[in-house]
Amino acid sequence: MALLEVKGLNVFYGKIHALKDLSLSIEEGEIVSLIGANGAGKTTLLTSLMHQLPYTGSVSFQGKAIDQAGTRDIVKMGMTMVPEGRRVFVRTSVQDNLLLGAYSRKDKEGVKKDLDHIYEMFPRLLERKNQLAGTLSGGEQQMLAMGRALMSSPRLLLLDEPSMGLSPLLVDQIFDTVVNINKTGTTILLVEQNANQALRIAKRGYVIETGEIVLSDSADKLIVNPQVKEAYLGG
Amino acid sequence: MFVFLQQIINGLAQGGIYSLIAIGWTTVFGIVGVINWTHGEVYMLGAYVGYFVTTFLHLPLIPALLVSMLAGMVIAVLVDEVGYRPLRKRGVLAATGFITALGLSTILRYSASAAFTVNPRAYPELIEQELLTLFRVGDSAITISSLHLIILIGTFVIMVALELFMKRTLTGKAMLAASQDMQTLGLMGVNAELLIKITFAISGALGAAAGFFIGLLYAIDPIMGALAGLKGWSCAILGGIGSIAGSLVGGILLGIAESLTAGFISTGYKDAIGFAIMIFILLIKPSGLMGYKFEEKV
Repeated sequence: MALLEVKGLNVFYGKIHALKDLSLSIEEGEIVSLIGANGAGKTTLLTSLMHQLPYTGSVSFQGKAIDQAGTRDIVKMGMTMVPEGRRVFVRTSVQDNLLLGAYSRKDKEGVKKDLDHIYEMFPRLLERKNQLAGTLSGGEQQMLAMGRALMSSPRLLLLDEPSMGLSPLLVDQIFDTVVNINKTGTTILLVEQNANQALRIAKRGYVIETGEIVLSDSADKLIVNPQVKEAYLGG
Repeated sequence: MFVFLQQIINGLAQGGIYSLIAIGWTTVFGIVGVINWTHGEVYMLGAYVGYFVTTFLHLPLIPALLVSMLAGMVIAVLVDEVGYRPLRKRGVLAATGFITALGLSTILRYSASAAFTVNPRAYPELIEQELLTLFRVGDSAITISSLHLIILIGTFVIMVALELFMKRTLTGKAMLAASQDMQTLGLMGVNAELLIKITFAISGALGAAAGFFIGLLYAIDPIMGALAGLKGWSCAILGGIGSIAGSLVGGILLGIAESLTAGFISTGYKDAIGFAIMIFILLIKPSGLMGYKFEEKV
């Protein structure tokens, strides 16, 4: 049974058909990368999976249909998203950003344990826990955004362009972090324009073009696929 | 020098009242994104509830204040439920909310005129009015009225409670986060509707408390909310919209400015000069005194 199963997903922005009959599935424990150009529909897909956009089609998570669920229910069930552009709460302290990530949880002990775990994973955040998030650098904000999402203790983490706007060194760090998060048992759907690195850490990949999945294969095969090479890996 | 100091002291209570009104404006605007013109009416209705429970039920000061604040909460939440929520559900609040707000404000104001008549009413004496000497400058005593002192203490207690709520509880932290990015907050599994209702409840409680405090000082009437509401909104902008601390400072500044104008120039000019000072400050610092601005990080 797939952890996430998407079948025939359609999203419209007014008359614009943004996602067309899109289907994909993610198995427990995988890193799956979704690559595609600007405007292909990557963010639209993640946003509708979190039910922040209306869609038609069917989505099931852990074998249960979640089409009628609200964003809150989905977070409680164990799926969450790190939005594009990090979107940390800039006027809120680092620690409070993290605590807000655990808003839907009632297990205080577990929250405290996870907070310690996040600080272990990102020591920079511990150093700056009382600073306002707006004073952090871009890379630190990305770590904070990821830490905040992990605070909801997700089984499936949707990552929207975590490498966006970061220096090459930081990009490497972020991808390492994604691998580490995956190793602790969190399944990951990674949406990226940085196709090369996204495919290198993934088990499988999907290529999306103008709202449709045009290719799907294991990451090793996609990375040597001539079509993918030409369009996304710079020849 | 003596008059100057005395006028500053005299302006503090009025300033605290403006701050209370301004914070109610700024929290709702920051979180819900609507310029809630009914806020002046909540202030007026809070004053009337205070009048009725003190005059007819003979409630003492603190219980009367609490009842008035509770009524303010209920009214503000109802305003949201009836006026804004339907628009929010259809995603048109930002575009049309202002018209709804003006309409509701007008309806509330003139319904109150019809129900309570336009004749001004005065609260019974709830505490003994006397002048307390704060300190002496040469031969002259700087004094504060016992009523002003009570209002200042009340305002201070309410502000501290609000500050503790915002800083110490997860709900308060979520409210601050909501004012920054409601959509992202939704990803944390926050119930946005509940948060909005809490915001209106707080705003209503503060507005009604302000109305009650004014009732301790002056006679109340059904159109008192118009100018006070406008001033409160101006103080919120002056302080930097969305900033509670800014609203606090903005309100106190306006109260003192008005008091100094009344003392040194003329009472007739106090409203005009208050606004003139605000326009001047906003020319120099358009984001308000304590408006937030972070550089875009990449």
